[in-house]
Amino acid sequence: MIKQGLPEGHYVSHEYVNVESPALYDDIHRISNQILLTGYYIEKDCQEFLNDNLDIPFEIPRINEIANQVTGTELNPVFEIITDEESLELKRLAIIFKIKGYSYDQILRIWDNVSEKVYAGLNTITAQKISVILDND
Amino acid sequence: MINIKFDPFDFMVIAENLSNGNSEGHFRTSVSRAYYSVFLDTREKIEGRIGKISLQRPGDIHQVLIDRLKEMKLGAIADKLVQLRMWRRNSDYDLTRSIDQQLAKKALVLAKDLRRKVHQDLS
Repeated sequence: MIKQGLPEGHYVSHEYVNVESPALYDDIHRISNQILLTGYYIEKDCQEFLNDNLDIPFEIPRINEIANQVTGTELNPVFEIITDEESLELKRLAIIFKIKGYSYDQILRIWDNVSEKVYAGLNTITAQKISVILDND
Repeated sequence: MINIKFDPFDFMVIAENLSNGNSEGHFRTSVSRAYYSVFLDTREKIEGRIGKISLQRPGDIHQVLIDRLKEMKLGAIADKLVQLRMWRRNSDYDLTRSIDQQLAKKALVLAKDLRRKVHQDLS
């Protein structure tokens, strides 16, 4: 028990502040990731995927910023778990940007540019967990 | 008998014809064939480079192919193939979602762009 001059009810048990505990370490990461992604609308299944893949949330603001820079607009991605009826166990996260004012041909060129910049900054393991998708509205 | 290998581009031609059809069945099948045209083409190109891809389950090939493309730093091809695969999944399995001619035409534009990139970056 840590006693730091607090009233009895505020004493903190070592059980809850063991920084070497993997579970606590994960909890801290999950909370910090949720703070990091404040402002994004993320469905429960996607949030669970992010909780299980703690390398991804940190990348989402960076990917969003790249998409904003390339398109010159403020984009707000939607998230979707990519599932496949023929391969149910392999799940990935799609980060989808819907862009107004461009033809689909133009979007395909923009997409190439965004992908090049996004994947230049990602290791292969993280890159394999996500797909960045651009579409017209 | 001479065994001539099937060219997946034939599926693209069929997809184009089906996209000019007049029913949702035509459009759904068009999206599906457009995906398989590029998927098979990409698989052939990758296996030509790294050898036959081994799988735990046959259905895993679609995701494993995407993973190999990411390992090869071909993220744009991988993600465009994922988009086509998501549309193909909806077309083949989701009966509640409407698949119209506009999507069939868009899938063809994407499939042709992908084919061009695959032949450019993997040949």
